[in-house]
Amino acid sequence: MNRDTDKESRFERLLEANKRRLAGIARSYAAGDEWHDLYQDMLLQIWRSLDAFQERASVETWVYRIALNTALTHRRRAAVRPRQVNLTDEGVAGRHEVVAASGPVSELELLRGFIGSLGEIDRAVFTLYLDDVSYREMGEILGMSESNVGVRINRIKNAFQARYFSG
Amino acid sequence: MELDRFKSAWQSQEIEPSVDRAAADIVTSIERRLETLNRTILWRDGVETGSALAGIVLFGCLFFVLRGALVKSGAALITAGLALIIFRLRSSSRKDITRRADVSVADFCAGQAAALDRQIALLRSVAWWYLGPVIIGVNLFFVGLSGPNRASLIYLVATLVFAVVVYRLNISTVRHKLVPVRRELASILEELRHEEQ
Repeated sequence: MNRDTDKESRFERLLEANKRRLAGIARSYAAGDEWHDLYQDMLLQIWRSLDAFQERASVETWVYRIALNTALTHRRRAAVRPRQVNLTDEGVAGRHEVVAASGPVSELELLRGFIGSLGEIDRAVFTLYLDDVSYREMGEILGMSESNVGVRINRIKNAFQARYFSG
Repeated sequence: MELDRFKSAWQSQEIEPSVDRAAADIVTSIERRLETLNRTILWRDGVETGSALAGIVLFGCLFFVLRGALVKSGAALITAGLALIIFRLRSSSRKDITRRADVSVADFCAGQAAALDRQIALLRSVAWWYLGPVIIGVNLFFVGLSGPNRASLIYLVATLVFAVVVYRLNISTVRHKLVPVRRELASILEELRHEEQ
């Protein structure tokens, strides 16, 4: 098989810089060990899209778009969907799931439980927020207005607070 | 704010070694997957197109070889029907392979929604472009060969039953698989475009 070493070098640099982000999104959108398959699918899509990438947009924006589009496609193909919390309704705190069976729950487990209860777009927004992506960049990745991103993040943060830190 | 420590935990997640493989290994398995995928698509397209072409050649020759208006009409209709099937399937798949994954999520979902709309329209119209010409054609051909008798009536009923089954399978696919996905895409697009207050 003839290998394009130039493309492979670019891919390797991209992977090294972005694999944690990709893994985070894969974990947000796939249950249990399924995230491994989703992660591999993301890498495949990145490889496929690499020739067309002209490096005018930020690499992170480009990677996030591919990751989220792949994740959403994966979710649509999956047979089982987790229960979702509709954050446009009031009274979110009263509908949370039991997250831990026994013993102290790590912050990561709490986060994953909460993320798993979110709808598709809220999941994307919150995952990007956890990665410290700016509102402007989130808007570019998702195709939403910056103000819409801001409102959504506040709503999600309030829901998170209410779920885990209300008295 | 409590979320800051959660962010820190999120950003320092480790990746299992089984997943965190060297780039070279990943590229090798990607290329292998793409090769398999391309071979599968080529094989499937080849079988579909090959079968239709074989039918076109066969009935195209029979059109010239056989005599009788019914037989010739049947052969012509089958040939035209098979050509239409090839054309519709090829032009539909050509539009779908241009979807890029590196556009915004809104644009990607809009693209997927448009592709689904095309697929739904294709399956809903299967009666006229997939079944109609070929079913009518084979019945004309059969009647032309055997004459109007009990055998041709049985043949007509059998082909109609077959056509109804195929039509209903396609409509069921639309209703139970494609429309729910289309609704979900519409909901995602609405969420992305709706300006919250």
